[in-house]
Amino acid sequence: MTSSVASKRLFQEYRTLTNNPPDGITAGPVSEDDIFVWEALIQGPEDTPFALGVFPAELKFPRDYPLSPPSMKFTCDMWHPNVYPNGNVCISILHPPGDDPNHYESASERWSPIQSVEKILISVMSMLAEPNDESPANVDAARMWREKRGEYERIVRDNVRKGLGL
Amino acid sequence: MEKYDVSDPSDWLETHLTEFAPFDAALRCEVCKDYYNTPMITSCTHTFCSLCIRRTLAADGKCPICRSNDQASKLRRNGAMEELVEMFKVARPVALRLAQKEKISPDRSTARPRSKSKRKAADADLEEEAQRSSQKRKTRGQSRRDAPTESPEVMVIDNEEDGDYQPDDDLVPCPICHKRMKQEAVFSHLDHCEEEQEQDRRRARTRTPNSAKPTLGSSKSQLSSKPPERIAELSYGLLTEKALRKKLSDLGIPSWGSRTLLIKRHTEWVNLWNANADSLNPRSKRDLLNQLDVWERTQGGHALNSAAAPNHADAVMSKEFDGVGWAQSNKSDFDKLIAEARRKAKKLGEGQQESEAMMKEEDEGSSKARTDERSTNVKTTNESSTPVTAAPPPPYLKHSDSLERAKEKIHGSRRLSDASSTSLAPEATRPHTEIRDSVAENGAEGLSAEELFRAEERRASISSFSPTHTKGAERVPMLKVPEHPVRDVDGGKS
Ligand SMILES: [Zn+2]
Ligand SMILES: [Zn+2]
Ligand SMILES: [Zn+2]
Repeated sequence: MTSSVASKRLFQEYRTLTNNPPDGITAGPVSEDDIFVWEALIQGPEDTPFALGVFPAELKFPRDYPLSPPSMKFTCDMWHPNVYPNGNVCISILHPPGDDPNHYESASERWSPIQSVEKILISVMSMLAEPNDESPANVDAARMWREKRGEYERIVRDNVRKGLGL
Repeated sequence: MEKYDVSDPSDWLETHLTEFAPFDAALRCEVCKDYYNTPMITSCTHTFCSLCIRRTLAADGKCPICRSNDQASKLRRNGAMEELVEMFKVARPVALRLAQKEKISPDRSTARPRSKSKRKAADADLEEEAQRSSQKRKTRGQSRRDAPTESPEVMVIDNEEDGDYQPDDDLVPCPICHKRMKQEAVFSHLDHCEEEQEQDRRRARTRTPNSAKPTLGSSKSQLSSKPPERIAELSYGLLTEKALRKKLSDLGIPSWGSRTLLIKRHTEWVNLWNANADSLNPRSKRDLLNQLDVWERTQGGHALNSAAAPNHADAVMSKEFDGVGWAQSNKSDFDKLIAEARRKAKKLGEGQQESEAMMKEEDEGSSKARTDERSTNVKTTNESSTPVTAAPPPPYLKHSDSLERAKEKIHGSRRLSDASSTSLAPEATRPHTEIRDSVAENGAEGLSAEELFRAEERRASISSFSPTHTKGAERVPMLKVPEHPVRDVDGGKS
């Protein structure tokens, strides 16, 4: 009995993440029956309006992982230039090098089988701190981030409070 | 049932041999994150498992590390790495056991801070619990692996099969089982040998390392005995569906399905077959067909289309994964984050009344959506007695007990902070240590929660962000374990 490449690799990554988790990041399969759906919690980076927040997200892995990247979706309110209103995260590490919907990402930043859940989550954490507004997923958030930074940050902080049930 | 090896370089971080973590990582393939299995070197001198790099090249023709173009036909075996890996796998459990033993001995107290580089003292107990359970899981797996490879046996095999000490008897060793025989007998022997090997492997997979080493030593005889045949890659564009189907059935693999599926299946078979041909211990075709069958069920024609649907292989894996360890480590991780959130929620709660007043001011003239958010927000905080969230719980919460607990705790902390903001309840004095912790974390001792919050705002409005959090995390990329795990990251921030 041989197991699929993808599940074996995902187990390996889960092991690494539980053994030696990076600061402010937690991730693991939602249930033992399905290694292809993970939940992740990301802490908002300090010195940003996301600070103090804990943001849940769902990762879905394709069957040919790690050849293809997973998708990631925040399951909380997330007001950010690079997050679609439905929560889907749009950053280069989640895009395979062959397909560049945004025509600006350099191939080296994009998905490769040597990337990992950990690297994705770290990238997302730094995306929270430094949005990329060149080709935004949420146009309104991007405009607000550029033009009305104070208002943008208030919305973000409201979401942080809401997320903590305050 | 296949053994599932969940060893990880970070296993060393909890021992006295933390320097072994990067060593362990250097012996692993960046694609599968497991030890190199038949390592191959690319034109750009990067090394991967044969199957891993063949699959990757079949997908996009580029090295996954540096993205140089490369072709499977240019791959060369990295024999030194292979030997290194096999020897390390034998030595690892022994060394790990010793390194862990040492940890329990007298100077345990000095061992702890070394290994807890990024961790906070408050979480130590939970972590220890998780650690213990992962230890349990690990040793269970290892005992199986260790038993047949105790040192005496390794010595014997080294002795009798080291290339330099071959008896002068005109016989050559079988490249697989190392039985000595006349050179012309090797070919006919190989057929049976594979079968026997297969049984041996089932009995004790752990012998692979032992048999790998001597084979490397006797590479001369191997050259003469079995030039492995590779299957050629096909230019699928030039083949009709009918011709393609025939190719597959000629190879003895299933030939049903759409053209796309035929191509995918043929590609997988070429990768499986050629990676096997690279191996020093090739498996039988039957074995490869089984592997193709797994592929068929997980990615091929029998795979469910939904990315979220569980399949048989996964269920097997889950069973092999220690259920208790799973649940516990998950729990401790979630608890860690929740404890953090709770602490911060308290801090927020302290300055809440003031900040709400402030926010109402600011709210004049802001968008309608946000005003709505605000009103629900205010409403919840006023309903201090009933733990109801303003928004419906994220769908994510339904999936996880841990998060249900998390939610409860956050509610709990909200109740606490509500209490402390309406009356100066004992809660205001109780969480002293926690508040001190979080204040220290933010490097702003002596500031009230609200002042902190404003400070955050000011800092955030300065356009150049300094995501210290992220930097800290980046210092520990997956395969590069920190050089000095001793460093106290938290201490460095203040
Ligand atoms: Zn590999
Ligand atoms: Zn390369
Ligand atoms: Zn040589």
